[in-house]
Amino acid sequence: MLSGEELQRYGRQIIYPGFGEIGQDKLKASYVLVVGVGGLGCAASMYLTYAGAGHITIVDDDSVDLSNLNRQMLHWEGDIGKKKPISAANKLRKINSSVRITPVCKKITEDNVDVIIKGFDVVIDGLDNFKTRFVLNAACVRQKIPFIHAGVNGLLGQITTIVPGKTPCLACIYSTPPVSEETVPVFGVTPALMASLQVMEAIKLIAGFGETFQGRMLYFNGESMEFAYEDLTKNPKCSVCGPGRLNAKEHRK
Amino acid sequence: MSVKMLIPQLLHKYADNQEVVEVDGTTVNDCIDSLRNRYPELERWLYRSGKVATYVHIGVNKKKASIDDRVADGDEIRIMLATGGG
Repeated sequence: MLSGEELQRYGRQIIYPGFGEIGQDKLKASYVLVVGVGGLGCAASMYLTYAGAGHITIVDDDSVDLSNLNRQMLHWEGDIGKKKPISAANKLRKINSSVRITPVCKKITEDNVDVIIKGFDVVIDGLDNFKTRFVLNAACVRQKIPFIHAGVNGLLGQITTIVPGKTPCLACIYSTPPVSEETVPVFGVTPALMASLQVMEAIKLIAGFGETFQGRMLYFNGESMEFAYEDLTKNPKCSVCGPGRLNAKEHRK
Repeated sequence: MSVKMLIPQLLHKYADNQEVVEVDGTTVNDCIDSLRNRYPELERWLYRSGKVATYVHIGVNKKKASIDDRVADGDEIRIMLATGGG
């Protein structure tokens, strides 16, 4: 049930047809995990917090650096040196005190990923490398948790929503993890745009309305202002989500 | 030396709606350059500052490859975008 204050606070989204009080209630009851609190993760966790997603956990092992401040909106000048989840949680709680924010200062590894993602309704990809994304993708497939992938480079971005058992997973799309550069060029606006789309996907998945980018990748090219799509196909021999691989923990290494 | 380039769906419209284009080249880089020379509109998706962008993910004959790898007659190069920053 929503309080009178909540009805007022979220009124402009509650009046959206197909969402309504029921949608807001589902959002309030939801558990969302944002992995990575950088350009994507800051913007994603902000919009989730504003929208009233009830329980948001933010995971990152990094500390705030001056070079993050061109894009990572939740980290300010006074936060340099602080752990990113702590820095971000302080601001998110001020944005919306009714949302339960849980900062986790850990690096996602093969050994801890299953414990970290357990029980979440949706996982949002705010990572900066494909190696860790593959670890997270495999765990989401094992636990059948929707995984909203995004990545950026300069003014280029990509996003797809992976629903285990239904859509291709990240390992179907790329048979091996693509090489990730140490330092990727990026303007703040690119991850902000992709993160807005990730939260839009999360809201629809949680509230159960609209259509999501399932089974297709959206690419955005900000230099030429073009959006392009690619249909994704499941790899029947996928080592992560192929037949018999769901829940097969022994295949994770 | 003829090498098949498999064009990602999102770029078909910039490559005369083709899925496969035969190009000449002795390295992956040569082949992508040759593709770009034929279809200059691909440049804004595949290149940065005149060079093949680092986010272009390459496979040769279904195996992971890199830009400087040599290719042989009949090889198949698949290119995909993989923007991995966050």
